[in-house]
Amino acid sequence: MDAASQTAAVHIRGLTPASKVLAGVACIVLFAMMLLTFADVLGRYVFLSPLPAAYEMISLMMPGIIFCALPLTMLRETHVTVDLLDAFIPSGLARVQGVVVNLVSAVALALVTWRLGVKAYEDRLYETITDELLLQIWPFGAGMTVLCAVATLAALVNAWTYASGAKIRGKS
Amino acid sequence: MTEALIGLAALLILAFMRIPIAMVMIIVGFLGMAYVLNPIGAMYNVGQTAYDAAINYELSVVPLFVLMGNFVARARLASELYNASNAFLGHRKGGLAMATVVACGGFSAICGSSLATAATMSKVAMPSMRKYKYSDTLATGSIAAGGTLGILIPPSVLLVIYGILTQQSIGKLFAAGLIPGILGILLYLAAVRYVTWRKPEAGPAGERQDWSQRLYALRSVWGVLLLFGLVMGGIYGGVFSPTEAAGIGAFGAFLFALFRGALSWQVLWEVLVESVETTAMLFTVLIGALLFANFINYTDFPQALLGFAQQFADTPWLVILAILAIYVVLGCVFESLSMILLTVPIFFPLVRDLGYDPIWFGIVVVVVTEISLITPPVGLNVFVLRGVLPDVKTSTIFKGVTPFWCADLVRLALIVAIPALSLWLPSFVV
Repeated sequence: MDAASQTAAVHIRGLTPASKVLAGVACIVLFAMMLLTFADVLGRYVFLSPLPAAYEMISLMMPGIIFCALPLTMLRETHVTVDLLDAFIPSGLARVQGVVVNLVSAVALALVTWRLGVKAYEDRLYETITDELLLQIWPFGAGMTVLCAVATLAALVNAWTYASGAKIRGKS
Repeated sequence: MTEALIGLAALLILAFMRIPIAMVMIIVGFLGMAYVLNPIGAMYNVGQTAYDAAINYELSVVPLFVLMGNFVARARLASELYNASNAFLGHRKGGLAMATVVACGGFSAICGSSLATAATMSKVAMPSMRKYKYSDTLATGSIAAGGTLGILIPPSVLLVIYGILTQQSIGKLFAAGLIPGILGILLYLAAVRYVTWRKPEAGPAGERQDWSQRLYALRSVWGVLLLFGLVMGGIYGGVFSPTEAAGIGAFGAFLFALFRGALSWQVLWEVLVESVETTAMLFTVLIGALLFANFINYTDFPQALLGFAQQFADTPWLVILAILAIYVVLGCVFESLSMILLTVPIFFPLVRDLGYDPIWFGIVVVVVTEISLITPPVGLNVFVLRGVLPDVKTSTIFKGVTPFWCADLVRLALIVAIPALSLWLPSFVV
């Protein structure tokens, strides 16, 4: 193993378990959301008293599911792609492609991270609160920002592992 | 006009370079807006769009329906569904293929993934069709085609995405998909009938089963039928919002899988991880599509396109025909979700301004997308089958799919020509 792929391995060692833990959090939030929706409906139609603020709680759980699972989907590269030309691309070019694709993805995610960060900062500045639970909204935005940053990092790590040859397309 | 065309070209080129569609749409959408609007506005648009798409009650139907589908897919239900439809249809000529079509329709309706349906059903239906000496063409054709049925039959994630992109009622879209979905099953049955009429040896009849056997076969699927009835009935009747129905559906599917003994901790965890990954993927694409749509709407492209189309104001169906042709061509290359997300923001305003019903157009779009799943050269369902059944040639499957493909064209023509097929049921939805 050369030096480059060794550093790559070091990078992944921290990020992959972290992504899996985050995806685990997303799973728990999803399962809780399912129970919450069910309890809300049960409360409304059977006991004639819906859960207070279920609407808002479910809305606020959504970014938890999406952004906690995002780093893992980046690492595993499960996003929708047009892979029509794969068969015609020689392996040397595929390596370059792996780097470019992930760098571009990192740019896109970095853009979203930055703008979510600005949004969270402004929400904090103006002390925006939610309608029903009167929660400060900025911690949610800040959380999305951090998680999106982790996903950006995952794309960068992918680019690095392709470049060092530690990762080859089609083999995980 | 030019900006939009350059944007579209850039998007296609980047997508073909294998950059994830979502990322391409985010970048092109942002740069496009920065150019036609201004950089500050574009920057704020990115933050706000991502934020609004994520913190959103209506969109919680997406992960919940995905979860429901994954639970049902793991509940080892495929063979029971097949046995049940086989009990009713198996004794006819080509009956096993008919049973396959119906079972695929039912399975994919609930699980929501045509690829998973084709993969699962091939393991269940293929052995028995081989036992009765069905030709490989008919057997594989019915599985590959049957798998496409579920994208339209509600609960359909594609319809949810269409509804969100175009701000149409998801309940109405679901109601609109029901009759065209059933029509699809009936026409596929007719396609099987046609094949066995031309070549009786392709699909010999199985054994007739009496009513006690039929009712017995139904016993193992009643739970899932009940669940489907509850979810859909609740939405159609206006008792549940789509999110509530999805929550009940997911919980019901969870209980269903649990009581069938199909859920170990391991499986539960896998189902959840699969669902959150799909959710993250869908939402990234959605955020990208919304940004790209915002960009297109800031250009004068929609007006230009409309101006062009208005030359055909007397014969607006020519425009529809042109759009359908574009979909069929794109469908040869693109995967279904990205195709819808790319095209709907462009075609939807046009179709609406020509006076067509947005709900009807949603059904048309999804049906065309279904067709693309079995159209060469990239019919995804065909390749999934090829992967599961390595001893069958790709050309055999494509040949087997042809009659079903023709049936799909007939269905598309019917749906386009008779809007009431899609619009009658939604008129009852509140």
